Amino acid sequence: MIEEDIQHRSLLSRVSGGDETAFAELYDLLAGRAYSLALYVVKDAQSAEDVVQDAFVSIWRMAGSFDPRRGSVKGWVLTVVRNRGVDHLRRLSARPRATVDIGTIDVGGSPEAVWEEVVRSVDSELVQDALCSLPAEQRQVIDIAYFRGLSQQEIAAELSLPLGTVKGRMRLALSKLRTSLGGADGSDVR
Amino acid sequence: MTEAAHVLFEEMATAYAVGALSIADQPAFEEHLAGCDDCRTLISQLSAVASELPLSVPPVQPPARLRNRVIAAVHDEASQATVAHRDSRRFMPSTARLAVAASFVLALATAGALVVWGLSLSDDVASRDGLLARSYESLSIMASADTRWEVQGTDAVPGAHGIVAYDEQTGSASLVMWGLDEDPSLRYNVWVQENGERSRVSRLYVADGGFWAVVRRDVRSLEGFGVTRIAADGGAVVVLETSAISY
Repeated sequence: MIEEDIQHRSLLSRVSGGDETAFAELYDLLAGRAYSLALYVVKDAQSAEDVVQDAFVSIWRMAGSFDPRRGSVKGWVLTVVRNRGVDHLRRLSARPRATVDIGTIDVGGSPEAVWEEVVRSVDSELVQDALCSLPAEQRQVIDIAYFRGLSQQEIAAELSLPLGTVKGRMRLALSKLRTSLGGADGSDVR
Repeated sequence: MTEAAHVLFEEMATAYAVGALSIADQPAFEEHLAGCDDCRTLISQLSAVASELPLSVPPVQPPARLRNRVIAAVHDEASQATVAHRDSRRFMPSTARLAVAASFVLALATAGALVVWGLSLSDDVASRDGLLARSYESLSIMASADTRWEVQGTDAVPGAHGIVAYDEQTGSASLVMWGLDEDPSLRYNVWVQENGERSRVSRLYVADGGFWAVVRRDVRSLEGFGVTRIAADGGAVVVLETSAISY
């Protein structure tokens, strides 16, 4: 992961100087995750493409403002994608389905494609395992909050739960994730 | 901090980290955050955890055409920025006025005393991203900008004036204005004009008698940008209107 981030930071540094070749390299490394995330959030392939394009153009503009003290390049890029995706949902004033049906999407290409090597990595398994270890009701509130952008009040209304219950579940969930991912001391979340 | 207060804050911090803190709670939370080292550490940890959540999403292959679209869009951005930089007519504000602008942004960033209006719209990006972070961004742009110019309010607000700073490296502009009506029933929308159409890009926030916004666009390459004041009854008045010609 450290080597990966060093590579990303090197590319991002060149991007901040206007290097379009470095931007293309960074896109190739992160597009798989970015598109997967965008599709998961907006549930529509065309909208996901728009979100990814908007996000990467923003990254081109904002490359110089990246602060390495606040996390990895990959985390930063995916946060931008997530935020653009949630913005898209809000503009539509539409609420997506709770889960995306991957089986309905034509993924094309071969499983050996480069993008998949990039996407399938140890860290994703760690995060998936950590999420799966949570009680379903805790996982649900985190999923709705992060991937759909609903506030605690909106989640409480949608799930017909007391606000305090939603707050408690969210707090416990993130606390457990922090422990599972090894970030209790704040030094590293993995 | 008492145990009850700790739990309350952790609930708010958790919501903040995953973008689920209610808009109404954000200003007070960010004000507290600005003055509490322990809380900033906690937010840092929780935000790091939240940033891992996208890794749990099932992988889907992006279409090849998307790469072409993104690369072309960025190439267009790069080309436009170069042209705009070459052709822009720069007007440097006086050192004194620039210092006032920088001091203002610094004050609002360090104090965290953000009085925010009109946060009821759920699609306001700034409110979700965190106003405090944006105020720091505004300060950074003001400090490192390579192009700055002064702006004047429209005839509707003849006493209004301000400074725009654009930072090529970040691709963002910082707008600071004074002399606008601070009536809390009013809100101010920042818009940009392209192809003859105006689209809202941000709110104009108020703190310590001044107004500020970050516009993540190359404002020099647009047809224009400005600010519209919206009254409680929906009445709209343009209070700042500028075009590429003016700078």
